[in-house]
Amino acid sequence: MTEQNVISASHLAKSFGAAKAVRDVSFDVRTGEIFGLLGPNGAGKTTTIRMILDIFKPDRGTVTVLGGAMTDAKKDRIGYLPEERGLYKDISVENCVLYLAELKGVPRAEAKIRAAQYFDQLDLTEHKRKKVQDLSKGMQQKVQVMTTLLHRPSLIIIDEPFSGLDPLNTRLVQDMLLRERDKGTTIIMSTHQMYQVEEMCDRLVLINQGESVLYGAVDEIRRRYADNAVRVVGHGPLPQIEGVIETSRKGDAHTLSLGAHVTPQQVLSILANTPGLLVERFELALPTMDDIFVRVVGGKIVPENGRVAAETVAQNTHA
Amino acid sequence: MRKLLLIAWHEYKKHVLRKRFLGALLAPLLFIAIGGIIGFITVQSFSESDTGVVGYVDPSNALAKAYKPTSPETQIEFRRFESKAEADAALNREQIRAYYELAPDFAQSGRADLFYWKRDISGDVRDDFETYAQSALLSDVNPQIATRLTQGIDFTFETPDQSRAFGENNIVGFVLPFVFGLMFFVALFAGAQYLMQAVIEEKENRTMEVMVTTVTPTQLMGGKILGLGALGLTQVAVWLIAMAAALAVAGQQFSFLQGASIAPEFIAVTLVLFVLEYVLFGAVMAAIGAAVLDQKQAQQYTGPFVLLAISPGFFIPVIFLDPNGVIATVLTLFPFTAPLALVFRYGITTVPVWQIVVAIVLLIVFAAGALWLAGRVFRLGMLRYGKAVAFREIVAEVRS
Repeated sequence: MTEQNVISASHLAKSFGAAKAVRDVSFDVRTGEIFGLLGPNGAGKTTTIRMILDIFKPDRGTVTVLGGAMTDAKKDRIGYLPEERGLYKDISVENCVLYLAELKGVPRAEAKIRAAQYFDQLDLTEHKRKKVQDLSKGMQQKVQVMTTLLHRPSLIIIDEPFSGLDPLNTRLVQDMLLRERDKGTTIIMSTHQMYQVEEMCDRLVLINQGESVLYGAVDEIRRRYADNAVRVVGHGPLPQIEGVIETSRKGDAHTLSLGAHVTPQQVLSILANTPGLLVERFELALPTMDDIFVRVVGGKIVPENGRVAAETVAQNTHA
Repeated sequence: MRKLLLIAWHEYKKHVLRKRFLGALLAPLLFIAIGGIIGFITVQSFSESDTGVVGYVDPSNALAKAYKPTSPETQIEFRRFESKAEADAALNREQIRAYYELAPDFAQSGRADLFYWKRDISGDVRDDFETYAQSALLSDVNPQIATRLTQGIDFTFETPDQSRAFGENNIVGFVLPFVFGLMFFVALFAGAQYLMQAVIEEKENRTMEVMVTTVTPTQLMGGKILGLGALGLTQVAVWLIAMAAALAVAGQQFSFLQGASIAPEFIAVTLVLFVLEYVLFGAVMAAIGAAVLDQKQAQQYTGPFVLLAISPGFFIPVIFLDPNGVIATVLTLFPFTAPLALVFRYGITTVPVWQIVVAIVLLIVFAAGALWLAGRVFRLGMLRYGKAVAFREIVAEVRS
């Protein structure tokens, strides 16, 4: 295990009765990154998180958190926003926030100061004396994100942070998380919103049917799954290019699938020399995380790379 | 420990300010207050009716030597009428409240008829007339003996060790421990119920998962048990103060309430027993709360335990008839029934020290066991949503 790993999960497995929730999950999370924990519903994400947090003991495999086994002291350094989440409904928002912060070891006076800042940032100041149950779902969600961050954890584990938020609040929470990352906080984010993964995550693991099937840096994974294709945006008719197998159009963007012997470089030079065509944008057509998710989980691709990657991690862990 | 106390304080503060708690707190007080007011009014109206004149027609002149009781219950005056017609006339003019017509052979038969208009005379007035009549019949007997005979015997009940004695005029000394114990009992159950609700709320609010990644299950449960136990004790304390105040006020009206007190050692033993009982029941309730889905489902499972705890109530006749019998002893030793059984027995017998010691030891053992079991069930059920924990799962967990 290397120093910079905040979490090292190695070959985790957990069953409940006959049901195998997690079969074989391995990954490392490095300090200061936003790490995506992805997978379809029922893949074993929540069970994996609960094993990391020592709520469940794994049947097999090992997990280290912040440099070792979970301790009570470490719990104060972790901010957790579970999927099944809630707040104490019949007390005031402020009381609820302060209580949870105090439980995480923040002195009440200090918690008050920090809470005031967050209330301000999240437009909640005028609602802080209301009962939690009187807040809208979006506001409750913001309060929950706030309680996850208030004690300044060094590790944040956050499950679907954007559910129930409008685009404005989504951006607000997104910015808050990115700021936390910039401060050096490590964030594990579980979400189904793949564009958020593309925008925010540095690396990810994809869990399917209890196994880690895809693991690595987001850019690297997208390149790995890229077909030989380019995307072109421009004015004027595209010429016929030899070696282009298929052309598809979405808005003003054309995607050209290239034959094995053609390189994007060759296509660019032809386009540049085509009279009457003004190329505004030319890029490799990387698949979206959405595409990759569907392809991997939908079974169109046998994710050998993913398994190999997972095993590599495991070897590193044992080294 | 800091986190445990924080949770305890949070739970206490949250509940103590709730309308529901204030309602539970004030309801008995209101009850006492209303009872007091009704009692006061009744006493006032009776003392008013216990004045005036009651006549009697005495053809055989049997009451010639009668004298008024030495310690009369009422201020009533008894007046002789020569004939029934005269007495009737006085009754019609409302000069007298009622009159007795004594049979001609009253000295032998003791027969008399009572006539009244609109309203009967009170039992105290009747008692006074009876004494008045008896005094005439006993006029030849030594006055001291006559008085003794008319007043009857004042029984005094004493415990074998003579530590406590209750006369007929000291019924409060017997009732007070009873009431005291029942108050503890009610508060205990309120506390245990709050505890169950608090655990269910944690599940229903979906705050459980954040809590168990912040504090240990022991801190969470310990904090809740402590906070809500303190809530129950607050309830008892308020009631006790109110009861003491009520007794002090009422004592000025009712002489029999004066000097009513409870032995400190009884309070100490009761406190220990009920606190242990609270931990035992609290643990059971918390386990139920962790295992079920919602309040409604919880009620099904709490029933048998509540029944078990109040079961000494069903045995009151048996306990009173044979306060040191097998049933009374078993109920005192069995942890679930010990506190209430002891309270019931205390007023009428001396419970042997060994029984109290064994009851406390057994309660400690059971309470510890229940806490351990509650911890197991809690771990099983804390993150279950949409499905209750099955009994066989609990059995499997305990065996493992």
